Parts: sequence; C-alpha cells; structure tokens
Amino acid sequence: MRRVRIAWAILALSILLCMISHLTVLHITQSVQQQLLQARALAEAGAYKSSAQHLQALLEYYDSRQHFLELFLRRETVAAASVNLHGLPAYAKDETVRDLYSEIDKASEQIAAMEHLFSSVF
Amino acid sequence: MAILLFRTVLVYILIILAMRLMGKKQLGELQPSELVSTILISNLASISIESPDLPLLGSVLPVFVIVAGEILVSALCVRSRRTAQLVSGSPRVIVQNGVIDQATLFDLRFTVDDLLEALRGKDIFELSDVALALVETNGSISVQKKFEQDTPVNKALQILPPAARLPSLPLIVDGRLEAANLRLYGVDAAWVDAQCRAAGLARREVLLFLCNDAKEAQIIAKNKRGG
Repeated sequence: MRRVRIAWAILALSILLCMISHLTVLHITQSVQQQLLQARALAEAGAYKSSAQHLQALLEYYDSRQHFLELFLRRETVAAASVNLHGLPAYAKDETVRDLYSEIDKASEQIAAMEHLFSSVF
Repeated sequence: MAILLFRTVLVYILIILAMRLMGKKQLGELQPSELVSTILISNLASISIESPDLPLLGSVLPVFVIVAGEILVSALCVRSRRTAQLVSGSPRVIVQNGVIDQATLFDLRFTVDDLLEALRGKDIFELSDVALALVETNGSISVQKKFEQDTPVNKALQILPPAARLPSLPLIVDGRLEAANLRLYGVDAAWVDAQCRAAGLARREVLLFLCNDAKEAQIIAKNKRGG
C-alpha cells in the first residue's frame, strides 16, 4: 500500500510539474512575442531609439528567463532563439529598418516554433 | 510537459498492446506490462545520458510516471481479475492427456519443436506422459505429469520426516549475525556464540554458521590469512 501511495504522489507531482512547465513556457514565449510586436510597431512609427531600448529590455527579460526555459526545452533551441534575439537592437536604425522587420519576424517565428515544439503531440 | 506525459502514457499503452499482440512467446519470464516498463525505462534513461542538450526532467519525469503507472497497474491487477487478464492475458492449455491442442499452439505461434523443447527442459521426453501443459502469462510452460508417470512424494512412500522441517539458514555470515534468521528459528546471539565457543571459535572467526529449525548447526571457520 505504501508503494501505491508513492505512485499516486509521483503522478500528482508530475501533473503539477506539467502545469508549471506549461504556464512558464507559454508565459515567457507569449511575452517575448508581444514585446517583439511592440518593438516592430515602434520602429514602424519611426521611434528607432525607443525600439532599440525596447529590444534591449526584451533581451534582458529573455536572459533572465532562459534558465527556466532550459528546464523544459532543448537547450539548443533556447540558445538559438537567444542568439537571434541578441542581433535585433543593431538593426533599429532608419537605414536597416527593413532588415529589422525581417529579423523580428524571424525571431517571432522561432519563438512560435519553440512554443509549438513544446506543446505538439505528434 | 503535459504533452510529454501524454506521449509517455500513449507509448506505454501502445507498447503493451504491441507486446500483447506479439504473444506470449516473446515475453520470456516477465509479465507484458513489466517488460514494457523495462524497455521504456532503459531507453528513457539512455536519452538523458546520450543527449545532454535535452533537459534531464524530460527523461526523468517519464521514467517516474512509468514506474508509478506500473505500480498502479499491478495494484489494480491485484484488485481486479479482469484487469489482470486484460494486461497480462490468461494461461492457455496446450497439451491435455498427451494430446496437443493444435489450434491453441498455432494461435500462440508455438511450433511443436518449441513445445517438445520446453517439455524436455522439464525432464519429460514422452508427450504421452503429460497430463496437462499450460503456457503461463509470462510465456513459461508449466507441466503436470500423468499420475502413472509422476514422481511419488514422501507421503505416498510413507517416509517419516526428519527432525528438521525447514532448511538450514545462515545465522552468521563472515562474522556477522543474520538477525532475521535468528528470529525465524527462535535463537539468540548468546546461543549462537555458545555454539561457536563449543567449536573453539569466536564469532568473528566464523565464515558461515548454518542452522536448521531442529537447531542442528554446521560451522565453517574462516581460513587464516596467509595460511
């Protein structure tokens, strides 16, 4: 009977971990995507300095949350997204704004793929 | 993570199903669910070792879920005979009164050679000697010989039992007392030490002290180092 109780405890703990992991990953990825959209909107409005600052803040946010993501996701995927995000602030200028849009879309797609990989079944 | 759990449970069920479909012959000594757990756990354990970029939790959590599943399934099997039959199957009769049940043999995909080999493994060389042979849920074969061919038991031969009914168990191994065996045969350390002293030995000099329930002792002393 003791083992059965332990088994139920393991299952309960697993479900709790699942919920925590889902909430963590979804919260971080959606937050990053939202911030990317905001940075793009600022760049579209010509506020390149604000856009660059916004992207810098996004990088700081991602760096502070990266270790949580690495608990639940493949480290390679998390690190690849980090590398792409780190290049973004450099494009927040008038002459490279088209590159910025392209890079933001790419980064956003990468974050979406990360979220999809985490929650896809088959 | 819920997806990972879902996939683990899904793979677990699918492999059990696959093993049940493959039949008893593939199972060896393990029950189907035990075999599935063993395979999955060994593979999951190797993933975290082989792929360090994968989070450890990704393989550790499924392993524990499988263990929990195995415990719960076995507990459920104890409570429900129907579940036990669903998970492990039922024993099947393949020989009755020396006659092979060919339909069952074919169904289990046992060849006649497999059957004869299993019978020979039980020291039966004549099919006609078999009263009943069953394939158990773990894939092993149990055989009951016909009355005329069966080994007589002590009761039938009216042999009087020896003083000791239970086998000899070690009370000292390498100078250390085996407390569980002392309790089983109702002796204490003082009695064991007295037996050792009678044999001219201290407890620490005893390699093996065997004793049965009639308190018949056999003491084997350690060899002197370098002697």
